[in-house]
Formats: sequence, C-alpha cells, structure tokens
Amino acid sequence: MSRYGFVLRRGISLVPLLLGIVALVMLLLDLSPGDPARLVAGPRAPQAQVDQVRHRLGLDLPVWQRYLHYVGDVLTGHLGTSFKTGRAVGAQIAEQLPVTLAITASGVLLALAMSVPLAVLAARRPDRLADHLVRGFGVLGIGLPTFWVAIMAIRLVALPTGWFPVAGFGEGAAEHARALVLPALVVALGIAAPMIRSLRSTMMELADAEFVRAARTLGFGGFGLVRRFQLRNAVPPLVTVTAAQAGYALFGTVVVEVAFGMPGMGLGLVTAAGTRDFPLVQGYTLVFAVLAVLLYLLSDIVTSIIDPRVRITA
Amino acid sequence: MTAPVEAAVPAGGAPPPPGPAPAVRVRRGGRVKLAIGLTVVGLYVLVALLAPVLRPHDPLAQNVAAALQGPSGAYPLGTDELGRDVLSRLMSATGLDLTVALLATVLPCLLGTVLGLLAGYAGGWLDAVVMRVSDLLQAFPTYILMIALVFVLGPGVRSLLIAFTAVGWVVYARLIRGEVARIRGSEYIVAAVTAGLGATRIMVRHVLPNTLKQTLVYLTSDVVFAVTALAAFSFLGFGVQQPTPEWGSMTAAAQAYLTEVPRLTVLPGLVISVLAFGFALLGDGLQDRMGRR
Repeated sequence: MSRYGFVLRRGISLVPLLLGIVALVMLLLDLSPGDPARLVAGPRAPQAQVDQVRHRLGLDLPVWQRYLHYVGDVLTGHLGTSFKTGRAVGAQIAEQLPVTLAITASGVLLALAMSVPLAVLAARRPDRLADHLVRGFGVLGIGLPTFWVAIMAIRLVALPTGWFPVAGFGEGAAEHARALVLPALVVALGIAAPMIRSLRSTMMELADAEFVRAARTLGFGGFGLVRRFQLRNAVPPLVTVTAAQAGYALFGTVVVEVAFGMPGMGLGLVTAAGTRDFPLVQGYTLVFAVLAVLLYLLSDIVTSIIDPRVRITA
Repeated sequence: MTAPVEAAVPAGGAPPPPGPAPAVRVRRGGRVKLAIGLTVVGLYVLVALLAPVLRPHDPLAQNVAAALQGPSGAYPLGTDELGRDVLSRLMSATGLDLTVALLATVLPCLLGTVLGLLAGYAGGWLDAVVMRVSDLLQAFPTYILMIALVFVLGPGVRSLLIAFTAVGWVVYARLIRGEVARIRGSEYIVAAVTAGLGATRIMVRHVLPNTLKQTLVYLTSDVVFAVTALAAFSFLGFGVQQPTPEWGSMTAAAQAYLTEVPRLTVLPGLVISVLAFGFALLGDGLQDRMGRR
C-alpha cells in the first residue's frame, strides 16, 4: 500500500470515532441532572424563556434528529454562540487554539528532547548511579502536581530573574517564545516519565538483540552503535508513547494556562465552566477531543514513515 | 484515569528487559521502597484519623485581625488570608484528600471489573457495546472529558467521583475481558463447567485471581494520579469548594499572595507531593516484590 493510501485509510477509519465523539459531546447536555433547557436558560429564567430555549436548541426534537442537526452544525463549523458574550464559539476557539497548540507542541518536543538522552544514558548501565538518578527524575515528574510546579516556576524563576513573563502570552514572536519557555518546561516535566521509562527498556532490550550483538562483533561501538542500531529501532515504540503522552499534555496545558494566565483554550474552558457557559464548554470539549484523535493519526503517519512494515500489516 | 504507560504501549513497546539486574537486589530494593511508601502513607492515614484531636485550631475559624501571619507558637505554620490556621487546614484536608483519592481509584476498578467480566463472559452485543464505548472513552483526552462531566454534574466531590469512575473503568474492563477471553477455552475452565460450576463461581474463583496482579499494578499507579489529579481539579475550581480545606483549592486561593507569602502555596503542594511519592514508592515496591522485572 502506498503511503498516501495508508494515511487515507487510517483517516477514514477514524470517522466512526469522530461521530461517536460528537454524539458524546452532544449528549453531555442530557447528562445534566434536571432540565437541560433550564440549565441553559439559567436558574431564574421564567418558564416561557426556558421553553423558548428548548425550542431554539432543538431539545424538543427526537434525539436522532438532534444528532443529525448537531453533526451538520459541527461539519459546517457552527459550534453555537456563547451565552455570556454572544460571540460565535468557533471564532473564540480559533483565536485561542494557536496558544494551546504552541504550549502543547513545545511541551511534547521538550519532553522528547529530555527523554532521549536521559533514557540512553540510563540504559547504558542499568542499575548504576545514572540509571537511578534518571528514574528518580521520572518519579519526580509523576509525583509533583503540575499546577504546583507551574506556580513554583513563577515564584522561583520568573519572579526573581525577570527573564520570563509572569503571566500572559505577550505580543509578537519574540515575546511569545519567551512566554512559552516555562509553560513548556512544566508540561514536559509532567509527561516525560513514561517516555523515559519506555525508551529505557526498549534500549535495554535492543542492546541484547542479535543484530546489535552482531554489529558489536563487527567493530561498531560507543555512540555510533547506540545511534545506528539501537536508537533507530527504538523510535516506533517511542512515537506511540509520545502520542499517548501528548494526549495527557493537553490537560497539562489546561493547568499551565490557568496558572500562567495564558489566553488559550484551557483557560477558556475553565473560565467558560465557571460562568456555566454551556455552548462554549461543549465546543472546547469537542475541539480537544478532535485534537487528541488527530494526534493518534499523526503518530500513525509518523510510524508508517519510519517503519514501512506498518503499512503492510495494518 | 488510566495508567498511561501500561495502557498506551502495545506489546512491542514496554517491558520487560531481563537485563543484568540481579534479582536479589531488586527484591531488597523493593522491600526498602515498600517500607518507605508504607510509612509515608501510614503517617497520612494517622494524621487523617487524628486531625480532629491534634489540630491546634478550628480549620474554618477566621480571624481577620491575624491574617497572613508568619509561623508562631499559636500558629505553627502561620495563617492564611482570612486568618485561618494553615496547619489545622492542612491536617483537616488529609482525610478528605485521602478518601477521595482512594475512592477515585477503587470505584473505576470495581466498575471495570464487573463490565469486563460481563463483556468477556456474555460476549455478543453486550461485549460489542462495552468495547465500543471503551474505544470512544480511550480516544478522548481523559481529563478534558472529566472536566466536561464535572461541569455538567456541578462541581464537588460527588461529581468528581462519578467522573473518575465514568472515565477510568476502561483499562480494567479491557484487562479482565482479555483475561476471560484468554482462559475461556483452557482445560481447567472446561473442567469447571463440566463439573457443573456456575458462571459466577467460575468468574470469581478462576478468572479474577488470574488478573489480580495486573489489576494491582494499575491500581497502584492510578492512585498516584488520583492524588495529583484531585488536587488539580480543585485547583481549577471543579473539585472541593471553599471554605472546606482541600490541598488543591488551598493552593489556588493562595496564588494571589505568591509574592508576599509564598509559604501558603508551597506547603499544600509539598503535602500533595509527599503523599504522591509515598504511593509511588508503595506501588513500585509492591511490583518489585511481585517480580515485575
């Protein structure tokens, strides 16, 4: 199968999943205890207004009709309008999406940048000092609550040094980059541990593999051996873990945006939830879920480029 | 709540490299980890139980005249922005945080086990429904879905627990279902069926014991996530609400005084981290002793 054929097939296979996600997000409204229309209209709205809301949202229609309407709306980019501001949900999210993508992407890249050398180092001599230090570092990432690490980074780094903004995303590329440093670090620390652990054990497994032993007898050694024979073959599983961790990074991003006051989707979601702005929360949930699905697709594509065998077996 | 690594890495990725690590040393390391982990968690349990007796002040009593004070004889860890005793609040929060974190770990496991058994044993449409729903839930970014659920149900502990359960059962259900499928045709199950044992008995006596080890691995890593996630949700405003003392919401309230009184943000975070490390060591130690490597 050609590369594009593979990607296309993978993409198509995600359609039922996306339809399910849309259904789940739509049904969120029905999960609320009590009358959804009342929830939307507000607790003090008169009954007539509640009925009007019910009709406007199509809540008086049978569920399958509502679903079809909702799918149609989503496909045409209509995610509703905010209760509080009256703005289109899609427009607001589109404005905030770049901030969230920038934090998540830089966090994931940074996590990769720390995981690879650390895991390689740890795997070279298992159970020695470096290995223990690296594993300890990983545990640190799991045990320290992300929101607290973010606040500590503000207190211990941003405030005393003045190198990085304490809050916000700034204006222009240079300020954006500066504003990204600490959030990306915090996100990376939160997700790196499983990546380190997985890569470390892959590297150790590969060190014992027959072809690596053969390469060693042929005179390969040191870093060249690690890079050409072990690291290259360790990439596909690393991509899989990284994709899964990138999904978790989305939540880390939410927390970090709130702690650093950055105008992304995470802060938007939390603010919208605070003001009980239902269409906004629905929109954010949907976009976050679609992002996660796209991440998996991306990891499939990357894997298929690195390891063409995937295209045949999948 | 999933255990990300175990859940995410397919067969090729993760464990277990035999490596040159001598088994004996791992065992001993396991014992040390286990001992430290048990001590830490035990201390927290003790504080949780004894907080009503030990705490020097009422955790809710405000004394605005004594707001934002440094540590003193009367207030060993100082006071917060409303003049409440920080030590008493930290101690009172222990019981709540521990209980909710443990429930948020155990409830998904119970639901997942039941659904996994039903799906694996009954097969057919029930199996199909359970598996499709779990596919869907796994595709969702876990915590984002939980935020949406808590939003819909209204903030608070009850909603949080529902959200943890609704999202976290998937890993356990898949594990158990897989196990059921694996041993279905095995001789001893056939023998048990022939002997006239009922489905329930076969499930409980023959299927569940086989999954115990892996379940325990998931549980011990989930509880670490539950501790930090619970605090994170409260920090974001979705969990425990003020004025009830809770570590995450205490941190959120104190962030405004980060420059003047950093102690207020540092302390709750430390308390959370130490508990999380305690659980992590406990889990690691248990896994080492069971011979993970």
